[in-house]
Amino acid sequence: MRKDWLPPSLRPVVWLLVWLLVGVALLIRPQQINPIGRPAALPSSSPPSGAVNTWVLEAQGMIGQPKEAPAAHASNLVALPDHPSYSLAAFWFAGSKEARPDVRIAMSLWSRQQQTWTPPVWVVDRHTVGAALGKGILHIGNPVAWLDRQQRLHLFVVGTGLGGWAAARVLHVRQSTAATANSPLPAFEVVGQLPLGWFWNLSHLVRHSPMPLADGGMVLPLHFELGGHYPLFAWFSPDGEFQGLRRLTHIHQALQPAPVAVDGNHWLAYLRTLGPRDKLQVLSSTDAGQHWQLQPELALSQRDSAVASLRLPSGEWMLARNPLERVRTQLVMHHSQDGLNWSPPLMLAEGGSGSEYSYPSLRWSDDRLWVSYTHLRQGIAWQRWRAVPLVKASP
Amino acid sequence: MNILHGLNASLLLPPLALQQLFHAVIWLAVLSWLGVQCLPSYDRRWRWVMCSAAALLVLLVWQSVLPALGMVFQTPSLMTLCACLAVAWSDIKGPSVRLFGNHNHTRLSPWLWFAVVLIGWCLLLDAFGMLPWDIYSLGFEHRMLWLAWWLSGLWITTAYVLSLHDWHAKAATCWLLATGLFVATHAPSGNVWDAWLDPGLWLFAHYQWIKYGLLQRTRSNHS
Repeated sequence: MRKDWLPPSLRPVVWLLVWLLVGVALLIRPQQINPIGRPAALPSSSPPSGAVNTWVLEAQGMIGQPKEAPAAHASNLVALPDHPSYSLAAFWFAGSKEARPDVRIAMSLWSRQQQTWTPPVWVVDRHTVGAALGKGILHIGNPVAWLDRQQRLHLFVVGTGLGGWAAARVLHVRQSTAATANSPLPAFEVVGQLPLGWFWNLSHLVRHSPMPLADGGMVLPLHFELGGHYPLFAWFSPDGEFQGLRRLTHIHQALQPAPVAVDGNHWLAYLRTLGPRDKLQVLSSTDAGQHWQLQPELALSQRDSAVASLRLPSGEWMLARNPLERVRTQLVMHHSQDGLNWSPPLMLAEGGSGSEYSYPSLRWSDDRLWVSYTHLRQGIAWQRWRAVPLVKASP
Repeated sequence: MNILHGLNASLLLPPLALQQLFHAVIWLAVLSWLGVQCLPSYDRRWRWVMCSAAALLVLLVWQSVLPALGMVFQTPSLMTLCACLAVAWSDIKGPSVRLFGNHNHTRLSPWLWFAVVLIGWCLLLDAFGMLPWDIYSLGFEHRMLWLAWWLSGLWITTAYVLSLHDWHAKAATCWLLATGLFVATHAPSGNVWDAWLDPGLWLFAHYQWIKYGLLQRTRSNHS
């Protein structure tokens, strides 16, 4: 008979020691302060000027498309205020068609000096990400970019397994090398996969730009879309570390939240809504994202198309959407003084039946409003708008 | 060291190198266990050695196996890892070995499997947004770890004092070890629910519950 290495009488003692060891490890582990509830960054330290602006289209065009990629979709802009040469970066996915294995994430930079977009480069592909994660990825898409306090670019990308978009997970990649004069294009490294749900982490997607927080962190809007649809928000530290999650499982048939801050604690999020609803829906939180309530729907028609929102340094709100009446053949923009009552639409793009101008992205850079959007699923169009004060508000 | 740098306890998510490590190790344990289940039990110890070596060889030679498993099933939980190790330990040492306790009944109770099934259903409904609460996000909170630590202590003390079946001690030990590993590493995802239960283990719990709970009760009713 084999002799036991540990006499039975000692086993409870060993168990007790292990239990105490886990307790000590728990004690010395620094307790995280609840990251949810931190105030949002406001666009400007000065209050809204009260001036009503009119918006003038200053320039527009197409961002160069990689030659071997006839299809493009889901662009996202990020401002680079401290970069010596470039003021904006645009990311989008391109390949033979959406959700094809050859789809990759492309990037182009807006050169301040040359006033043009640099030739596009590939920055993320499914093979590199899959190899780094040790988990296979079938397709990637929907890049969302953010700049942390170390001026590193972070990209959040949807990666799918078996089952297409419904089996998507959100992947996090980060700039690994600082841009230099000789090598202005950033290289990216994989950080990991965001833990957003228990069931094999399935069916979580990202689309809209993050909302900045006062401490330099951000809130990343996400959504779940397998069967039901509901929005989620993930909190990140100023260095881009995942900190917490709020899943709005009580909100149904709504996805791709587009958050903006009214003030530090009062936030709004516009939603891409699904039928039978046909008006833009909006969520509100008065405690910096801890609790969210559905507000009365806005008087703007919209169904199943992405919206984009942005709060400008002037305090003004901007919103881009596809009106329901024209499906995705028309893309319009509105401005507002309170985020709830919106101006008549400004035309961004429109075309005939079957055309598509969709998935807008809004960004403020160099005192101009920049818009990018999907152009006929063949490329990414951009526009630059300038605010012209129209009427001074009465004192 | 990338891993040591990433073991900074203030970070919620495990570093990528650690994720990869646990992904490989847990799948190796699961594949070994699957192999052992398929082999005749002529020698328990050599069964585990052979199956572990075979699984390791498969993962090394066919390098697409691990990414393919990860693509569909992600990384199994630390509880699955601990359960595989516990089964291997029992098999190698022989069925007579008890952790402690006076009874030799080591097969897990159908009630425990039922509890696992129930928790999994709650997490599944939560994932699909069918519950009014957000259960999964609780898995990022420190208090959940303290709760598990107290409950596992209470469980084992009760089992020891009342001389309950030995499966209590084994199950509580697995839970404590999975929790301890999570505290140390945050693996596999940074959320403690993913450390305690994965959908694969949950499906296996259904099988065990039906096999040893429902079917045996039906059999005994008819006998």
